[in-house]
Amino acid sequence: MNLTPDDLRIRQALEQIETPMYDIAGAVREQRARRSRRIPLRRSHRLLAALVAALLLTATAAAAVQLSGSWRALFGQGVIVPTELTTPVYQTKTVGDCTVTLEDAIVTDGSVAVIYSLRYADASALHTDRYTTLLGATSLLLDGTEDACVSATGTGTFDSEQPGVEYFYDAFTLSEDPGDQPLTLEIGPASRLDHPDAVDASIDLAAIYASHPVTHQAEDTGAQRLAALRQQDCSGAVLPQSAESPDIRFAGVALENDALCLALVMPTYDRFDGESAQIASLRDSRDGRMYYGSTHIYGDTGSDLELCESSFSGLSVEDLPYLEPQIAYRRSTPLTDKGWTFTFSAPSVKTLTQTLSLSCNAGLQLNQLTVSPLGIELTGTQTAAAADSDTSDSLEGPTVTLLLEDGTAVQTQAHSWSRSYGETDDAPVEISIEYEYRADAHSRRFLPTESVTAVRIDQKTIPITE
Amino acid sequence: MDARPLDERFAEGSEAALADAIALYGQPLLRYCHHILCDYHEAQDAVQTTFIKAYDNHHRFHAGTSLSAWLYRLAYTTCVDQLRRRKRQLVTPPPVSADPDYIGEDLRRALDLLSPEQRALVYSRVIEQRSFDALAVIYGKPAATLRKRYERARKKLAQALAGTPSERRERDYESNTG
Repeated sequence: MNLTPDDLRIRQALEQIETPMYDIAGAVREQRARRSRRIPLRRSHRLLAALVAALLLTATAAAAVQLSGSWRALFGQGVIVPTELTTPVYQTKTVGDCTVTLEDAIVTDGSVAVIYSLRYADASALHTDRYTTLLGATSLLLDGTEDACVSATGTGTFDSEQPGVEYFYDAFTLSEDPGDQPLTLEIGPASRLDHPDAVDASIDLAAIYASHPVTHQAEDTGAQRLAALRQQDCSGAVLPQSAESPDIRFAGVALENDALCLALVMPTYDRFDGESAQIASLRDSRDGRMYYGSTHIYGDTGSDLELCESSFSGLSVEDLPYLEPQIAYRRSTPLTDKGWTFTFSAPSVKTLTQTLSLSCNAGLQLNQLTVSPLGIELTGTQTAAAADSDTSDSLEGPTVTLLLEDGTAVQTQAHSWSRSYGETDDAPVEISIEYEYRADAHSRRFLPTESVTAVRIDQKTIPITE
Repeated sequence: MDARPLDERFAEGSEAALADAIALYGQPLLRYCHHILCDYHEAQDAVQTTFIKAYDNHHRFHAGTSLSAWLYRLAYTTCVDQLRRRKRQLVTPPPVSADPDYIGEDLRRALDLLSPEQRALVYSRVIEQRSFDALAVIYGKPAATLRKRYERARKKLAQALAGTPSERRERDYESNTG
């Protein structure tokens, strides 16, 4: 890409913005845990809260559910799950040192939701700052095959106050009503991902580049990049953990446009039993400044190797003698030699689908409403002009409220959306917005669709006719 | 065992894929959000939210397409949402970074002249050097439209930077020493 003088001046200015590194993985884990953690009440509010809780418990006694900690951990302390929706499964299986318990399932005529937990047999912590315990992918088999499973969504929660357990919720969308056919939940093996701090590498970058200057083109494949870098003499480049990870090697230094690209080469990463590394940063020995690049992994090397290339804009060949790389290693180790399989069956509960013709704000035209025990989905189209505007790029859809036969109004919250853009600038954009039912500000609820009499979308009330 | 590229396995929603995505794209997205929001701490929030949205919506990601582009799009919409919330804070003054030195006063003033989309485009072009075709995938708009928008943003920012005292000082210094 050729930069104009204005581009260069702007880049020079923007490069003055320092963005320090940040433990994003830790923050994400904490935030996900916080979503399910009870908000501590001030002492003066506790008595009132206890009284309200007691009243609520009495009022809902008829529909009381023996809620396990998993529901509350996943969906908040005030989660509401009517008994008629859930099927208690409670199958526990231990493989190696890991125990998985399939606790409950909700089966509808178009979906299956399951809740399960992971623990170490010795109850030790699943995650720390240094490692993360991972469960393999899940799949749902209907009558022995995956054919009916259209898509899946899932969430896990980890509460730092209960480090010995992690709860998971997976919801599978099906193309047919499972009826009372046997359902099989398969969960892949567990592994542990170690993520130690980045370590300094002492590599003479300038000498390697001088041995054979390489310039990549943006469209170069992994194979082309690797072939070019192999002309360089990297024999003296010993990575800091070469004894532990002899298959991860420094691959070379190249220019691409006006960025410096530093590459490592390693066997294709196996997330259950493998290791990988990337050049996390460069330190400039002249002033101590840190540079953080963007990383791209090229799997198309024509071999079983991956090229992990980190690109640092604004640095040149003249900077090479002063740049000191830091290498971040990751290693995963299998904890179990196989996964888990649970077979169960449950009667399915009903989902409602209704055609709409409703115009909303932001150029949104809704044409279908689907109400299931798990949540609600609106589908329709949006004008290209509205989709083009900045503010339409958000999770906020119309306000949706469910009205139940007992007069209760159930609030909802949009939690996921998708847009599908047309081929031309002005083609309508297909949009789908999914909502969860809310029990309160911090808790989700589930409900039988038979109890829904109407759905209010913004100010328009749609009677449920089924 | 699963040795497939991240672009193929992220849609399955595993914790491993999330960890890999954070390791690969976390810091670049943090910088991207920082340039749009012009506030480091808000950028931290935005990048966290981006990955949580990505994980919660992993089934929306089409395996085999560009995970990077999808994450950047999520990050962009998250930043826009945060800026909208910032505007709605009628009583509380706009958040001020506890580390104002991350962005100098002159540069912040110049960036304030741009819309969030313009700041995103400028960053993607001049720092990440993405092509307009690549940007079209991220922003879901035609490459030609983005080119026009970028050129307008570039003109506005270049003019603003040319007029800032620090830029003038820097140019004066270079001409005196150079």
